[in-house]
This record gives sequence, structure tokens and C-alpha cells, in this order.
Amino acid sequence: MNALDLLLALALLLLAGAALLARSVQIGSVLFIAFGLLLALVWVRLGAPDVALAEAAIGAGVAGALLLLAASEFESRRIGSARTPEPRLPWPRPQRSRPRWTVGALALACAALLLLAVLGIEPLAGAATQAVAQALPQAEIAHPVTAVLLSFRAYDTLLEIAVLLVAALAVQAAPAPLHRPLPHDPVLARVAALTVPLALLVAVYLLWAGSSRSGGAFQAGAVLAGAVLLARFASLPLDSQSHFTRPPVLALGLAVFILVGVVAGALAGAALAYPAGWTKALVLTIEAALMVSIAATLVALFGGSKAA
Amino acid sequence: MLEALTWLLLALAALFFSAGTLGLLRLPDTLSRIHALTKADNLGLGLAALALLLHAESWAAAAQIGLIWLLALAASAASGYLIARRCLLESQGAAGNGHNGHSGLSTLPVPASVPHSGPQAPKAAP
Amino acid sequence: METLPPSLPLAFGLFALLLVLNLALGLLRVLRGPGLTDRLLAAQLLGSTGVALLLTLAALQGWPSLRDVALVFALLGLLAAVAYARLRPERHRA
Repeated sequence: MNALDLLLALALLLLAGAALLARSVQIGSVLFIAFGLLLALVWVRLGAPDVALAEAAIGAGVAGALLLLAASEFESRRIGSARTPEPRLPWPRPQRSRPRWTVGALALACAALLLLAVLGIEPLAGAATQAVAQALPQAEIAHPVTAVLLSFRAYDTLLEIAVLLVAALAVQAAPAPLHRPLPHDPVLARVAALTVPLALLVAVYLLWAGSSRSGGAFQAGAVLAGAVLLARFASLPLDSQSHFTRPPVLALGLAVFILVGVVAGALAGAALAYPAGWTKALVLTIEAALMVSIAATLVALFGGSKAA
Repeated sequence: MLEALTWLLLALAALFFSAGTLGLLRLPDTLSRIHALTKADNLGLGLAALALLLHAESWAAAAQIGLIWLLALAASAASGYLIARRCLLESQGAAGNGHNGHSGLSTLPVPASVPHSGPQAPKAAP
Repeated sequence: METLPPSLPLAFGLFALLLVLNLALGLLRVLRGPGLTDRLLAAQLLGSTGVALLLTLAALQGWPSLRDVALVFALLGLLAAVAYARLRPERHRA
């Protein structure tokens, strides 16, 4: 523990409070982006660069942009509806007059329980790490995080991907928002033309790096989503954008995962096991498909895939 | 010798970084703060990156540090332009026409073209 | 290349400390800054300072992965600014 850690801890608390109490949702979104950046630094300090990569790419990047855009839509509709009596939100407007004592009490009770649980944890430092380190040579993957995600606990990852697919399909079931085209900005277009290919390269690099150091499908997928979103925001004329979030692309990761799990598992004798010597190739195949699907899911959250 | 150079570079980097951050805090309005952020901080980052890559553990690592600095420079320049333009739009919209947001966007002068690299005379702005 | 000359960990450590101070000051602007734009600028500052801090920590702690995190930091600083620039124009400024 040193000055940096103390500052980060304090900063996280302050930012979280400020984001919740901000006077507008947009300001809260920007505070959330700052929160995500500092949280990524916290993960680095806790010795988890993989999580830091994911937090920076997803939490501060994609989710931050998503919140900012959604907040802006929300604000402009709220202001717009102040002129017309008809609120255009699909859910009933919450009552502001009653204080939410029950909700507050429940939240406090949850926080107290969590605190007790955390204080009661015996430091297991090293036990899990040792177990993974002992089993690592058997997994034929050099990086322990990737080995855990895609070899020892592959079933958990499979279910997570299924959940992501369901979420993406649910988002697409909602009516697509109206998108008025934004005016062309040549500087932005040029910047995007330079950075989108670079981001694609970084995504593939992170995917490849995941086998031996920090990286992997989630981080690569998030950076890939960032690349697609940059292209979309800059109004780059890419016809394939709307095809990117179609269900076949969304389901690709899950399909490949199941396929490899069944076929390789049949050859290796257990479900989701990999035959000896094939592990790295199979894991890379699965991760590549996952990367595409995760990116498509994140982009699908932004909606508007049917608009021009 | 290399040590002394590294200390010097880091000291300069610290100076520029602090200047940029102080500018962000003390300068009167948003547009001048953008200046402090995009210019001073990135120069500080460049000096620090130079100091760090002199002691990188491999040529690949040194190249990576250089690439990160270049990317940060480009991203910072682009975001400075984008934020400043958006900021100008907001102040225009709030001051003049409060009704039509889109015409506000089009009245702001946009560079007619981004000049291609090479000996080509830039086109005149509209 | 070679191992670090003896005085350099101190230099890197001091520099990291200064960057932490910059983070704190940037935090002040994020929490206070009167408008949305000022807070976004402060978030960009946190991003740039984060990149420098990560590069320094990568050298101090000997973790090359932190440079990848710095790369992602730089990329998404741009994404946030682009998202802000492409927000729908509002009629009244909050």
C-alpha cells in the first residue's frame, strides 16, 4: 500500500458518489468514464493486467461511450417532451416525490452483508495460484488466465458467451431508434481512417498475445468493437457495418465453442477437453470466433444497425 | 552518462506534465484548457517515453513505447479538435439560434479538404 | 538490453509519484469542472497521465503487459472524445 493506492481508493469512492449524484445523466456518464480509467489502474495495482485491459476497453471505452450516447438521447427526449405532454419513454416515469426508504434500507443491508463477508475471508493467498501453477503444464497454455478461462473452466466461459448472445438478441428485439445522419467531418474521417486499422491490428495482437501473456478474446473483442464504433461515429462508408451485428455473427463464438468442445472432446475423452498437442491451435480458434462475437455483441448494444 | 540523461529527460517530462495539469486547473475557459491538455501533456509524455525506451528490455519493447507515444499524440490532437469544435457549436447554438441545432452545425466552417501528404497546395477554405 | 542502472528506480519512482499528483489534480477538475466538456477534458487528462504512469510502472515492476494496457488507454481516449463530438446537438445546454 502506498500513496498511489490510497489515492486510487479515495478517488474511486469520490467518483462513484459524484457519478450517482450528478445533476445530469450526461455528466454522470463522463464521471463513469473517469471511474473506469482509474478502476483499470486499480486492477493494475492488484496485479491483474488482464482485467485492467478488459476494464479499460469495455468499462471506460465501449460502455462509457454507450452511456454517454444514451444519456444524450435521454436528455434530449426529456427536454423535447417538456414541450409536448406525451413522454416518449417506453417505461412509466418514476415518481420523484416519495423517498425510497425501502430501497435504501435494502441497499444498506446488502452492503453490510458484503462487508461482513469480505472481512471474514481467510487469506487464501497462494493456494489457488499454486493449484493453477501445478496444473499449467498439463494445459499446454503458457498464460494462467487463459488456461483457466478456456481450459480448466471452459464450461463457465461457454455459459457466459451464451448469456452475451441472449443479451444481444434481446437488445435487437427492441425497436431501433431513429438515426438522423450527422454532417460529414473530413478531419474525423481522416483520423478514423488512420486509427481504425490500427485498432484492428491491436485487437488481433491482443488475441494472439492471450496465449502467452495478458490478452485474450474479451479484450480483443472489446478493442475490435471500439474499432467498428470509431468507423461508425466517423460516418466512414463501410457497407458491412449493418451486417456485423446480424445474428449469425453474434452466434459465431458460441457455435464454434460448442463445436470444438464436442468434436475435440470426443477425441480427448471428456467434454471441452483438448487432445494433446492441439490445445493451442484449438484455443486460438475458439478465441478468434469469440472475439468476433463479443465485438458484434458490444456494437449491437448501440442499436441502429438497420439505419443507414 | 545515460543515467544523467534519463534524469534530465524525466525532470523535463515532469515539468511539462505539471504545466499541462496546472493549465487544466487554472486557465479561465474550456478552449484554453484544451490547449494545455493536448500540447503540454503530450510533450511530457514524449519526453518520458524517450527516457523509458532508453532502458527498455528489448528493441521490440522500445518500439512499442514509441508507437504508444505516437498513438497518444495523434489521439490527443484529434480529440482536441473534436472537443473544441463541439464546444464552439454549443456556445454558438446557445447564443444565437436556439431552435435548429443542425443548421448550427453547418454554419461552422469545416476545412474544405484535408491536404494529402506530398507537394500539393492546400485548397482554399470556403 | 541490460539491467537498470542503480539510481534509475528512484528516478522512475519519483516520476510516478509526480504523475500520481497530476492524477489527483485532474480528479479535482473532473469533480468540480463546471460543464460536461471540462469533465471530459479532465477524463482525457486522466487517460494521458494513466498512459505515462503505466509505461513507468512497466519499467519499474518489469511487467511488459502494462504497455498493452497503455496502448488501450490511448485508443479509448480517442473513442470517448469521438463519442462526445458525435452527440446529438441539444437545444438547451444543461
